[in-house]
Amino acid sequence: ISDQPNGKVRMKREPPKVTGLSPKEGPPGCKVTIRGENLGINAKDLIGVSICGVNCLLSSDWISPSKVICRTGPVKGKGDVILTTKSGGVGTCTVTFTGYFVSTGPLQGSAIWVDESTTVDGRLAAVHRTSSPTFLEDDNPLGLADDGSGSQLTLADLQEMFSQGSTNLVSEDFDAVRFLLETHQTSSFEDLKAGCQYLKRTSAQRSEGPLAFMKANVSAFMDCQQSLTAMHDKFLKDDVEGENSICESLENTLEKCNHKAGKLFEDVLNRKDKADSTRNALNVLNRFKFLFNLPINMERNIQKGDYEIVVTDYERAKSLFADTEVEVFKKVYKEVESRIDGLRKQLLEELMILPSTLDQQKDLIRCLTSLVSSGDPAWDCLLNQHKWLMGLLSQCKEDNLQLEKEDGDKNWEGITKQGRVKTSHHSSFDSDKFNPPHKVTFLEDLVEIVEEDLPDFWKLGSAYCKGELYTTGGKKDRSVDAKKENLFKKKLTEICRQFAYLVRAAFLPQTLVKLPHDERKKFGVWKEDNKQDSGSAWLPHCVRIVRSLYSLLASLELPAVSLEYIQNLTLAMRSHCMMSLFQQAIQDIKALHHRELWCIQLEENSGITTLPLLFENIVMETLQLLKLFKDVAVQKQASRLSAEMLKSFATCLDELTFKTDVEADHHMDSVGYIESVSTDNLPSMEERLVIVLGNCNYVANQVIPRLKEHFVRHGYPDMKRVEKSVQLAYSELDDKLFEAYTEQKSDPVVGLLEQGMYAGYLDWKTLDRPVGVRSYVKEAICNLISIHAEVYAISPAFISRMMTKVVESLAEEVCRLISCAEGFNNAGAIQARLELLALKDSLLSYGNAASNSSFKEAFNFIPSVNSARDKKYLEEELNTFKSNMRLQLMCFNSDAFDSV
Amino acid sequence: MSKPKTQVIPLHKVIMVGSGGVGKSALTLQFMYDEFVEDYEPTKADSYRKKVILDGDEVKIDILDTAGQEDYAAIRDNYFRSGEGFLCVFSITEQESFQASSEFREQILRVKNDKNDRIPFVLVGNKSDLEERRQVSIEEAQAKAADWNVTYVETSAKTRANVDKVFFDLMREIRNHKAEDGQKQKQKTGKKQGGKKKKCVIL
Repeated sequence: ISDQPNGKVRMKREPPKVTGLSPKEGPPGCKVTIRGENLGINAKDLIGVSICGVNCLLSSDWISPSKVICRTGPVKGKGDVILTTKSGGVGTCTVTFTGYFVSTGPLQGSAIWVDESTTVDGRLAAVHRTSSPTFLEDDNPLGLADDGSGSQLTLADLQEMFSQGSTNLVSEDFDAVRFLLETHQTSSFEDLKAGCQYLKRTSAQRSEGPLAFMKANVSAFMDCQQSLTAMHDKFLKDDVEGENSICESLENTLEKCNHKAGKLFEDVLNRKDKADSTRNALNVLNRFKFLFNLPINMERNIQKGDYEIVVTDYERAKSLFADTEVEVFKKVYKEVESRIDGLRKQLLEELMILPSTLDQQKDLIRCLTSLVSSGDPAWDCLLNQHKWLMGLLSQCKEDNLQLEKEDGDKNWEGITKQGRVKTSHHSSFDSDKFNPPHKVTFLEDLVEIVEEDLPDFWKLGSAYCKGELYTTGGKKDRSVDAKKENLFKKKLTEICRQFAYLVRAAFLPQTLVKLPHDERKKFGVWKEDNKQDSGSAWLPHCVRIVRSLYSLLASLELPAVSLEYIQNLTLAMRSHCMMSLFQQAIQDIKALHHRELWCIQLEENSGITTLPLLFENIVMETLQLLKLFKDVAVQKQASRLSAEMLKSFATCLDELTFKTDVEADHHMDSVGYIESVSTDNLPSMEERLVIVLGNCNYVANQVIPRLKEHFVRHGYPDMKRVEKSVQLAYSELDDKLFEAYTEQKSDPVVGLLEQGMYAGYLDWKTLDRPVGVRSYVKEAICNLISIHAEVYAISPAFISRMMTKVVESLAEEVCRLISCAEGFNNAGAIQARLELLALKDSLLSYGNAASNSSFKEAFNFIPSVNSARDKKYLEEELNTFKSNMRLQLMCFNSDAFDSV
Repeated sequence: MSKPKTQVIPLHKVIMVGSGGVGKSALTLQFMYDEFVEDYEPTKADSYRKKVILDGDEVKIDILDTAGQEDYAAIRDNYFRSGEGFLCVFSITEQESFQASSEFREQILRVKNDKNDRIPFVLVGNKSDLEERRQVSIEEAQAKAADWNVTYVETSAKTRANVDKVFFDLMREIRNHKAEDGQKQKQKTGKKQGGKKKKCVIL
């Protein structure tokens, strides 16, 4: 292939093309002349010769670009002849080669040993048959040319299909089907028929039998007979003439032959001896040269880093010259020894340089042990690596602590000096999200160190403990004592412990409280998390890292003692993560009241705001992040925390209602996004009460059961109790809210009542005549209507409950007022009765036992009206009142109808 | 350059026959590779194939160079059966080889089983450069050719005289013979042939 696309020096040549084969078929090993085009520009250019897929390059002989001679490989069947040249690539062919195996017949000469057991036995067994042995020579009994263009079935297929049969015509297990498939697979039926004719013809010729065979080979038979006779005659002559037996003369002749042969070869043998001695001398010289050159060679190889070569050289030198008496050799050998000493030191030093790969270490240790250095290099290496790892871990801690400190300083400066850098709560939160806190980076670094280097350490150590490191050095029995094995395990555990404690120091400092003070200090003291939100957001990530490390180490089959530290750490991290996530959620929920927008959405008769949904979302998100595990203590804590979390919304709502007024101003200053909720939008206390009440109800009835389902699905235990306590908290809140609201509402209504009742200095005793239902009753009803409207606008479901309560307190007040009256004249009694009746009837739909009894008590205080005229008057006045107030009253009634 | 289309380049199968040593392989190699081999090595069965331009059309010629020696007489039947045209070669310097050509002719006719004697066949007298050693006269050979109703050409593998001519003449004969055969076949089973052709197109 040309490497210069436009170069005229080396044009890209055409691929080789085979167009001629001589011969086109033959047995394995036959010489084939391959002709064609571009068969290579010289012998070296030809890089591949394949005949029927068998590589024949070794036997190939490049003659010219159009001619190559080679010998075929063991091929059978038709196949391509493909040549490959450097200049032209893989070639093609227009002709095919057919390989076949020949079975040498009994009458054929053969240059190789022929296993006749199959053919001859077969022939003997069938000796009564009249067919002549020449039949065996025919390897194409049908006389058909195999002109098929490739067969569908390969030889392997056939072998599989006919494992029993063979295609050998004289073999006992000859299988005609297989034979036809193998040799005449593509012949047409006509051809096969012609072949059959041909076969019949030849077999007819052969049926003349041995006679025809004899006739055909008569000269050969005559020759055989003549030679046999001649031999016989000679033997007879020898027997008669010779005095000695024929054996003796033979022996003599052989002796003579031997003698002569010895003479002939004497020269050669002598020369061989000479050559041998010369070779020996050369060997000795070589050995000396090796020794003298050894120091320089060693130096060179050491520089190249081929320690293996040095070691083998040294061993060879040692076996040759260690016990030498010759001064010169001693001197040189001494130098070699000193170099080896140097090398030993160098290797030891190299071994102590970390980090390096496990293979490097193993190689170095092997070299060192084969150099028979004193001490235990592998153990030293392990100790060193242990120290290094511990150092790395501490270093990592120091670095990150330092970073944190710097960062903390900067932040502090930033806040004090620039003041506005962190005004927005939002931005600081975001930046924390994008830049993980130092603890997290610290954990990542630590895990990286352990992940990278601990496996190597452990592998090296376990190899050492099993004695694998010395298998190649092998001369000395360096069985490792159990003491060192234990020590190694201790070291390993130490590393794991160090890692676990370092992580604990950063994330779970409280778990290290029990440690002695100076030891505790070593693991570093981290700043407490002041910003809860940023810290816990990264916790699941941290847990994931630690867990993946644990599974990695577990897969390495580390000893249980060491793994325990990591495992405990993982558990602690997980529970810590859970706790802080819960705490985080609780905090979030508590802070939710900042995000109330007071937009009311009606849902199933009760108005709610977005807050319950936000609450639900937070809880769900928290749940999604956490998967419960099977530690009982942790489970308890989990359920406690979940209860707390659910309750916390109640606190939030509580705060929302009762503290907003106080804190609203404060929040508006410090927290940016509260500003969007302007004071104009903030509803009045009463409205807020009703809204929150609605939310509270919604949460208790809808959200909590839903969440409980989720908790149960996530496998949290004991949820019933949790739900119960949570519901309790909500109903408490509900009561409190309700109380507050009714108080808020009924007080003014009730207050007005007394004023209205005694307006115009009315005295029940001195009243001249009844004046009809006075306006204070109407006023009270109107007030009630306004309450009704307010509640209805927010949450129709509460109306009945709310109104009943208000009516109750109203009735109570009326009762009180009436009972305080000092006495009634007739007109006063009628007046009082009329007004009471009017009130009672209008509020009928919101009456309950308490209000009814209050009214009843009130009636009892009033003297009864007996005269028919008065009764009639009473009825009339009541009716006028009812017809006047029809519209107002209708609002109660229709609503009462609604709320049923 | 390569057109793996439905248009298949026709292939003509030529078989070299004749006694041993008359120059069958020499003629073949001269035709194929323009080289003349001096050293004699008896052939067993060689195969050659290449593209040539015959009267402006691209065709492929497949040459089977067979063994002249009597040893291989038995396997000739197989080879002859697959041949479409024959170059029967003898040496003009050897009378026996000329006589033997009759035997080859007979064997071919027997194997091909052609009643009309219309097998594409060219009688070739090789070694025409060795005029001084001629044993077979032109008249003699031409008489035989006329008797067989075939053409007779004298060639020299050494000088390349008439080498291309004999091969191209024979290919033309083969082409014409095939065309006639096709005609006959069509007359016999015209529709079937068409169907077959269509199948080829699909393939």
